[in-house]
Amino acid sequence: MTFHTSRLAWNVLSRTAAAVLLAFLVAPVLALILSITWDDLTAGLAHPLAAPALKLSLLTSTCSLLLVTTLGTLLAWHLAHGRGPASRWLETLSQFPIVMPPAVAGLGLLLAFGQRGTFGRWLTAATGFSLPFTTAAVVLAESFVSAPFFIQAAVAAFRRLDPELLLAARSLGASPARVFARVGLPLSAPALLGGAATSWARAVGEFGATLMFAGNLTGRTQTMSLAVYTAMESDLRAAQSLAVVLVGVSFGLLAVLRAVPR
Amino acid sequence: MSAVEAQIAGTAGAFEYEVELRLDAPAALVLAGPNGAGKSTVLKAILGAIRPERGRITIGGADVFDAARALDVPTELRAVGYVPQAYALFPHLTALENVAFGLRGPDRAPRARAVLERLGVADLAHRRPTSLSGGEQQRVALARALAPGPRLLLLDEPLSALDVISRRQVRLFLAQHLRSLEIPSIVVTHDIDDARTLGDRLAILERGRVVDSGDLPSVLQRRASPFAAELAASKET
Repeated sequence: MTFHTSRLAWNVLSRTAAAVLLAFLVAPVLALILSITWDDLTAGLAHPLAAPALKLSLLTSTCSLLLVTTLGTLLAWHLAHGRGPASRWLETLSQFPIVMPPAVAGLGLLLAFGQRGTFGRWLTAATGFSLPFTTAAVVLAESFVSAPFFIQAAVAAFRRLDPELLLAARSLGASPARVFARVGLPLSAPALLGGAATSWARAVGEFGATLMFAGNLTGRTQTMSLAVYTAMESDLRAAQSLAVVLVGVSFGLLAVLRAVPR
Repeated sequence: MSAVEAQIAGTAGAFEYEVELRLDAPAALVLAGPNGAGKSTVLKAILGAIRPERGRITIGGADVFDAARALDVPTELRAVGYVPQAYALFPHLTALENVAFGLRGPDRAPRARAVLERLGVADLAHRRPTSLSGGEQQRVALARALAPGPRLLLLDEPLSALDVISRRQVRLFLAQHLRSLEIPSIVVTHDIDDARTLGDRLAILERGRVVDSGDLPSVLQRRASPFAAELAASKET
């Protein structure tokens, strides 16, 4: 085989493979959008499940985003600067939810924070409040599955920081908190925003853990993903309309997050 | 009472170091030696970024490290100015904001500007580090390190990030400036020309040990090690 033939073969094969995968990834979104009419879409928006589910999805995913980014940034800072095997183990532990099947995650949340759960019973005994099947449970389920995506991005960003920058800041009298706030955080902001966008997208799409831990109660725990599932049982067209609305809102919010100057 | 005194020992990577340094104010000490001699380890230990296994470090009469008493004052409380090898200016801040970083109070901006003026770079106040030349970055880094009024100044290979042409010019400026300071400074370098120019005292470090130290002419005359001999034989560029 000559050099030119081999180069041509590589170009054709690699680009075909790339195109096949890309087409496969785009196909469901295209099918959702192309097979729906404007009337179907407006009917979907007017569907009784749509407004409460959309409102709840936006509320819970925003709360989850705030929870994950606030606590996750601090956790990632310590993981990025920790040394020794304990730190590596803790990092692996923080990535656990990624490999956990959503149903298993939901069951785990129920057993941990349920009314008779390992920790939930203390909460109920102390406050009389029971977490499962509440809006707070939706926030926790979404935070559980989405946090690792943010933590992963934040740890990588903090590790990329030049240690000499941090040392120079400390030599100028900056306390560890000031080094974090004035040097670490602003220099890692673009990567943190990227991680937050991915994490938020995962939270909006969350289904299994929410269903197990929070249930599917309209206006209380029924997010858009769950509304699509519920509508599908009776009306495929309505489910499709809700799905398109969900895709539109997700893409819109992601575009806004990505457009933030970095 | 000496301005800086360090008697430290420990392990750094593949070798063990045992170093004794003493410097009176105001003087500039050059800590020279070949690559891998342990110079940066000593510098980082004085700064508080590395914890020696044994020994004691005193700055301005106050102990900042004493292994026997488990005393280890954190870097931010040592009042030691530090100019890193590649200057490590904060890229998201202007030159003025970099210099004001270590200052407190409502007058931090005019004070930072005054330090920039003293170093002849006040016109760069509103520029970001990425738009500055190597020599300009070095002056801003020096201004930043000096602004909070440290008790000691440490410079790690201060000219190694510069090209050959600007190196000579910056070396002259730095040599003059270090001699005009009222605080002691320690300059780490593996470069023979820098070692000859930047200080009035010289300590030669090889394989984690100070093989000779004293005023520059005496150390050059004694030629106590191959590096010292090479240093003595070289001509200043």
